[in-house]
Amino acid sequence: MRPVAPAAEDFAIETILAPSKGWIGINWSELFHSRELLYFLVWRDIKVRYKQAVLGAGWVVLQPLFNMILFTLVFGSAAGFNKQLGREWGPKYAVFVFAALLPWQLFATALNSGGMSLLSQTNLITKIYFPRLYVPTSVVGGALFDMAISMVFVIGLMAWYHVMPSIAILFLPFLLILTIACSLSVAYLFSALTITYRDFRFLIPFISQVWMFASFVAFPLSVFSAIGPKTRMVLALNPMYGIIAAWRKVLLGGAPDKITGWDPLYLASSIIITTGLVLLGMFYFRRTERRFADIA
Amino acid sequence: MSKPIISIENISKAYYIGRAMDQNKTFRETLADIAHAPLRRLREQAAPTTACEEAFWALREVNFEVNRGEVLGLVGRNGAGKSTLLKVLSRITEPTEGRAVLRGRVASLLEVGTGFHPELTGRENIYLNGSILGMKRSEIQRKFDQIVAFSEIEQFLDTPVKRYSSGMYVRLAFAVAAHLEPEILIVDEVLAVGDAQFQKRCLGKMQEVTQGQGRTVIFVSHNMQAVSTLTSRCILLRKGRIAAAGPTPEVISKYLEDSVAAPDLIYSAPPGDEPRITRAEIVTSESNNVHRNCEPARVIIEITTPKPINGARLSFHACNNLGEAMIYLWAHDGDYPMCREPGTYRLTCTIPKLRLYQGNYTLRIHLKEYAGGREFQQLEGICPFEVVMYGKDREGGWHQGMCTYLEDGAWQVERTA
Repeated sequence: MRPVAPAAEDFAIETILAPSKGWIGINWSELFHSRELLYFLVWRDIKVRYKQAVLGAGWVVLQPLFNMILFTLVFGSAAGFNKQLGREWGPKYAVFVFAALLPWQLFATALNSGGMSLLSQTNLITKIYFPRLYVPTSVVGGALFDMAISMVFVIGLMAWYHVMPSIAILFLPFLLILTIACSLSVAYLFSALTITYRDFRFLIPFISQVWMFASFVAFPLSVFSAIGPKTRMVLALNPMYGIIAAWRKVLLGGAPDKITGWDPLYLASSIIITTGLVLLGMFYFRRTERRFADIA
Repeated sequence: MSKPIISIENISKAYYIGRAMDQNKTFRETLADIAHAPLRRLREQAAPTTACEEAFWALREVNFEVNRGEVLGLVGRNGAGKSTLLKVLSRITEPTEGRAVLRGRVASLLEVGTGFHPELTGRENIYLNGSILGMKRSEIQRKFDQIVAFSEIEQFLDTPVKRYSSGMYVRLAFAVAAHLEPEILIVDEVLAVGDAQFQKRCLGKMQEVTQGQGRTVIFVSHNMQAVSTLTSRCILLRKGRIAAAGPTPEVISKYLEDSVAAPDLIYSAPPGDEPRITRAEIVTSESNNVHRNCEPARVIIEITTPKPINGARLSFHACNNLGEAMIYLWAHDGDYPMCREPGTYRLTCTIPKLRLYQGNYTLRIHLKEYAGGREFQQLEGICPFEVVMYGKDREGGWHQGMCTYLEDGAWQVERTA
């Protein structure tokens, strides 16, 4: 299914429908042409979410806020990990946790809701044609809006704890793009997987949980007393670890690398792996896309 | 124009059932398969046709062309492949074989209200639905007032759609879809929803779109009335293949032949000790007891009697679906000597012009002897037949319950002042 250049005589767009095989390219012109639809899908998700919400916009902050409190109490105080952060940062465990929750929420929504997005919208997919890539993309778009609201909260939180962002805040736009890319990649990959394999959807909450722990959102890396080269290699494989460490480096101005877990190696490997994941996600999605309506 | 706007060459679509290539595949199974035979798995993935035992061919070698501005009807029984063909043309699903070329923008109406969200208001849903159907935001804004006017829901524009009645919902959904301006419009059974008045407006709008604006339309419906009014050419699908293609009236006749004649379209019963009606049949203008209004019809009744009947009287009524008698015809022994000896008698009643209006009817037959005498048999609800108005075009169409029958009458108009 690929549009061909207009035939001179008819000035019409010629669309050829034929069976496709193997890996399919991404139809950028079509995506650009229908970009308004993406806007409407995101707008729909956001509007619906906030329509009858008692707390309105405040609702979106509730989940990370709750996680923050939970992690601070359980891992920070009860488990005593706040001691790992030292004298200065120990009491600011909440900020330490929230700085990671900010990008994590985006990623987790992309993984969970994005992963299920095709399954929950089968009625649309089987009745009308539009670029299917927009379905998981719109989920990430909606989550991005939520993230913007959480950012407002994080500013307030940082002011409360007298935490200033570091000079690395200049890199925040790039970091944000990287985070979005990583989120999109899992949204594409997992949405295509859940529609192809029926039981995959049950794996997603499990994968999400494990991934969160592997990204050290709730506690610092220093809980492992020995970090050998093997551990570092394994850690570098998790793109979200590098991303979260970078967020902490940006937001927790003045915090030593031992606390933020920062290391250029991890960021570099995150960039490489994210690029790979994005390509894999998009192309796998396109490859399975032709069967969506048949197996939905 | 030179090239047809749609060219379909040998399109086939197979769904794989049984070994479940597409359905019910679990990740667990795939992992297990990979563990056992990695190469076999990869080869199967690449060439699905060889691996599967059962392929259900929803479409098989479908070939046809549609010219610009043509209105093509697509008919067939349920399961013939109409919706599958529309899905292929709408790019919702991919053909397994063959190729189709579309030389224009396509918009499909496979269902009204696709994408409507119950929590959003009517106004918001117009934008959302319009965008999903392929309209640009500026286009929606431009046509917004027309859409609202057509749907007649001005006062409810800012209420969430979940509070709409089903009629309002359908009106709004159709209003948005009716204002699409693609080169090729594909419509599937959309006219099957809504009340009579709404269907009338939908039909009117469809006519405007097809005749007035010269758009190419592919129209699928079970409503033969709508098909014969709107389309000039038709294609009949049967079990995924084209069974007929040509001018609409011919194809519709073929379509009606398709259904296997149900045994109770003709009444038959064994003879007994008493005079009995052993066979009753209505011979309609089309097959399967479908009759075109104002065409001649015949009712054939056979009576078998073991002994002579004194003053036999046979009568029948044609009754509507409420059981009300619409037509009454009778034959009495006094006019037509019958049943004076034991034997089987065939009575044929020829009606030169059956004027009944469209609807479903049955026969009620009485067999009696002389007035005041015994009643031998009364049969109710037999020989069901349907009257249709095909071939009789009327501005505005034919609607349910308009009248009971069509009478002949001559008009004279003169100006008096």
